[in-house]
Amino acid sequence: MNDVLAAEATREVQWEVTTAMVVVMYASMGIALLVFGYGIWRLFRVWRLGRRAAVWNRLGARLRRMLAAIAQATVLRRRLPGFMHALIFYGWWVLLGATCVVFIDHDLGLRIMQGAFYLVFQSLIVDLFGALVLLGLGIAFYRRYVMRPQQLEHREPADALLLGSILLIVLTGFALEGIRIAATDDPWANWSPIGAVTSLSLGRLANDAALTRAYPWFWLTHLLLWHVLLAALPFTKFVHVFTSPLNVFFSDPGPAKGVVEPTDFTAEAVRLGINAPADMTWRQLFSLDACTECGRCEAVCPAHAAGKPLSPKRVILDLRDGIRAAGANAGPLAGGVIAPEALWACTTCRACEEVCPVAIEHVPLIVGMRQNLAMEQAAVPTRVGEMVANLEAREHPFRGASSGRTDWMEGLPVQELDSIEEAGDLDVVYWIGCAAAFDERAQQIARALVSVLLHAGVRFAVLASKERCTGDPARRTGNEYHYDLLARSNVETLEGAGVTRILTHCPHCLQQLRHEYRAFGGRYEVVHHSEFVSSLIEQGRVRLAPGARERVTFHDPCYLGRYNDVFEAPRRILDVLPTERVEMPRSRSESFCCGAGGGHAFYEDDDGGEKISGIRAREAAATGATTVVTGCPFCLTMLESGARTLTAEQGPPLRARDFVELVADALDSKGSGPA
Amino acid sequence: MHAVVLLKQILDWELPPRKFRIDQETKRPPDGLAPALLGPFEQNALELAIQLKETGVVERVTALLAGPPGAADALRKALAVRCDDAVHIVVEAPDLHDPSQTAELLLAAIRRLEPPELVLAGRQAGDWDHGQVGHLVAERLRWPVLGLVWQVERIDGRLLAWRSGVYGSEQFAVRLPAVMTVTSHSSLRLRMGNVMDLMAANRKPITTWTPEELGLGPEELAAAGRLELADVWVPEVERHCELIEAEDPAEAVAALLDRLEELKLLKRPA
Repeated sequence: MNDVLAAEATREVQWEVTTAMVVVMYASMGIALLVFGYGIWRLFRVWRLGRRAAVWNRLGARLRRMLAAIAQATVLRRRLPGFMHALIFYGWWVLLGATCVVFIDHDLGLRIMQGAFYLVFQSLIVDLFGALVLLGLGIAFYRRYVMRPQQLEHREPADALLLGSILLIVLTGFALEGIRIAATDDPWANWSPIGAVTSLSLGRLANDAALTRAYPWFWLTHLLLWHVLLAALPFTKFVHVFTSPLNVFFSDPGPAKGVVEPTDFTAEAVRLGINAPADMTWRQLFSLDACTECGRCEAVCPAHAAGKPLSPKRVILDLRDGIRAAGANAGPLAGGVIAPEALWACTTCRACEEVCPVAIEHVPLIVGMRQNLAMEQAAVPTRVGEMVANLEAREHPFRGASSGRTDWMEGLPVQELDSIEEAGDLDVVYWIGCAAAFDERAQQIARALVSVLLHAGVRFAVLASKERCTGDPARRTGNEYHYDLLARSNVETLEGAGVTRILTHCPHCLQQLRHEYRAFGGRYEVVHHSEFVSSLIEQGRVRLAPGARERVTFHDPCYLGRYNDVFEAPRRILDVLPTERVEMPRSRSESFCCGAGGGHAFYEDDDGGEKISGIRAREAAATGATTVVTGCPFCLTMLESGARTLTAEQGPPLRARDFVELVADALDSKGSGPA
Repeated sequence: MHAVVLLKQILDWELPPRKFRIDQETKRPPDGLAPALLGPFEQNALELAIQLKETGVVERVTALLAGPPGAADALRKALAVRCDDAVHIVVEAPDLHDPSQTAELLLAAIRRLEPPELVLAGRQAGDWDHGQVGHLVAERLRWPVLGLVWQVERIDGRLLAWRSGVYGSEQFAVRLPAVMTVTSHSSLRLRMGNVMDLMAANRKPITTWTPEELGLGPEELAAAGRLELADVWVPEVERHCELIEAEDPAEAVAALLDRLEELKLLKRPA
């Protein structure tokens, strides 16, 4: 063993390299570091344009998220590109480690590059990881230039130069190793398997003297390429090696997701959304430089899939390039650098954010620019203007509603709440939301849920005509001023009535009441009806009658799933009903939006393209399900509308239902009341 | 040039018909039945006034309204879309039953303002639909009046107005001063206004006058009236719904035609 891991094992550093070359190398390294520093300073100047941002709270969660990203957990969510990236990433760190070992050994004079460490790490492991980098690069070249996925950003010659220079660095590294082994008859050659194979090939190509003469030139090329890459780093997407992990650390660590930052309308200089770099936080500006241009956001964007003029990737890159080019004077951003059509096409579904491996937050940027369009420029699509006028006049977003706010409960034994104290012992206050009040189809959800609550003996009350819109459609369309008025009024009503525990069937109301009202002093325990009914079933308070089995698929509403992490409760309910549940290819956190979010339930963007709801309905029908089940009144409307566009070839007629309607249908009437 | 735009709040027109009620005592819908909103034709008139200000046809716009205290909301809206001034004639009822009295009140206020050369009004209030106030104001001012206007421009020094006529759109050259009543048009959808203006509108003063201050006490106002609302009621509408059951659309159509013929609502040629 001692022979194999010989203590004297090492190699000569800068073998056959002249002093002049060493001087050139260090001079080039100095220049590269200067250019690198200048590039970082230029970026830093842009980041400094931004407003303050809180990035030091919830440190544990932030560190965990960053470490997971560094460990490639987020990148590996997509198999092939993830595998490719992980190979290059891990390999690159090992190769960089090897360079550091040489630096410590040679430049600092600490002799560590010898013996077992030299053989196992510096020779074997480095060799193998170098090969893995080559494999990763091979996949990268194949993917970029042969497969050419549409989402991938193409910037030539920069892309080719970046990949090519990494490739050349690794190849020259192996060439150096091969020459040295061939020319010096290295006794430990077998510890460098790739180097050994290279030496055999090189040995056939040239004699030892020629190889020895070529060595220093390979050495210089190897290191100069390195320096070029280092200098280019802050000027290319390669800067993500620094900015991406930091961006994950700086990004919102949750637990609440997608909460819009409130606007202080009492401030002397009110900031109305984003229209210039100074309107963004430094964290948002920084995040633009974290983009790796991978295009995953674009690939999952429902608006993009439907042919609308939005690509979340383009939003980030256009902002980045626009701001880099013009600095503080970049703009107008809302409607200028980013076209208004792109901003209005967003459904705020957060699929882009969920899939982004470096935790870029696209939606707050889009909503921020919408705020500027709506509040400063008063430039909104006609239907958005009408929706806001309706909120202002009638406190609900449904124009031309034929119902009053309490019509849905006619004939139902529902208690109206004045105050919790007067109401006595209540389990929960049921927040109806505008959809179930003003949309006839959605009224059936409220009626079904009430029948389940009555069956299970739940003590509940409703606010009836004291409810007003939570303001979600105003907030998501950038009309923060109107949202602010509604949110404050609702918090006042809820506080006045002493409400602490709220049940709602609307994920948009859930998001507002659970998370977004906190900024206005409203802190409540809020449950979605899937969580509530699921717990009633678990407690044995809901007796279900057997029925004919039906094949169903569950559509995860964005504001329930991606925003609030409720994925399993509705599925648990479906699994105790007489249903056979099948999943769509895109489900849970990867669910595909129905098309209603971001205020889209109230306006159509007339930029052509397909209906998002139609795409989702096709996906549901393709599972062979006859019913697509959901847990959001807006998804329900959209899926019903999408199902109407299905042709006979696309499957049997598809019904859309809220899961609580299925529960209400299955209630065992003989056993009404708590089981 | 100064323009005055006459505004009115009316009961929310999206109130479901079956919820509409009349209080026999006041001969009006009861208070709180639905929100009071700036009437749709008044919105069109306001938008036209703002467009005229933007295109430089008029320099100043004053919004004028006679209504209860809560109607100030409509004036705030007018200020939020950049009307220069707002004047509120505070009357207790949502409106006066006789348009002559309303016109008299508005006229008294107009005479106190910087003399306007143009008065814009909605073609009719969306609640009572009299369509008289603009014309009555013109008559009292002895100004010409042009009804159903939807566009006004200054071309070669002349004021041209487009109106909806019996045979299509008509264009009139208008000599000022004049009154115009404004009709609905896609170009006259009231804008949203930006938030800075909205916030500024909340801080702007609104001039308020009582009828008495305008020299129109109860007696004078009564003397200005010509009409008295004798009675008002919600007509009873009977609905009968019958579903035609059929296997397919063709059969349904045949059955529907038979039924319509049976009810003597339709006669098919022999």
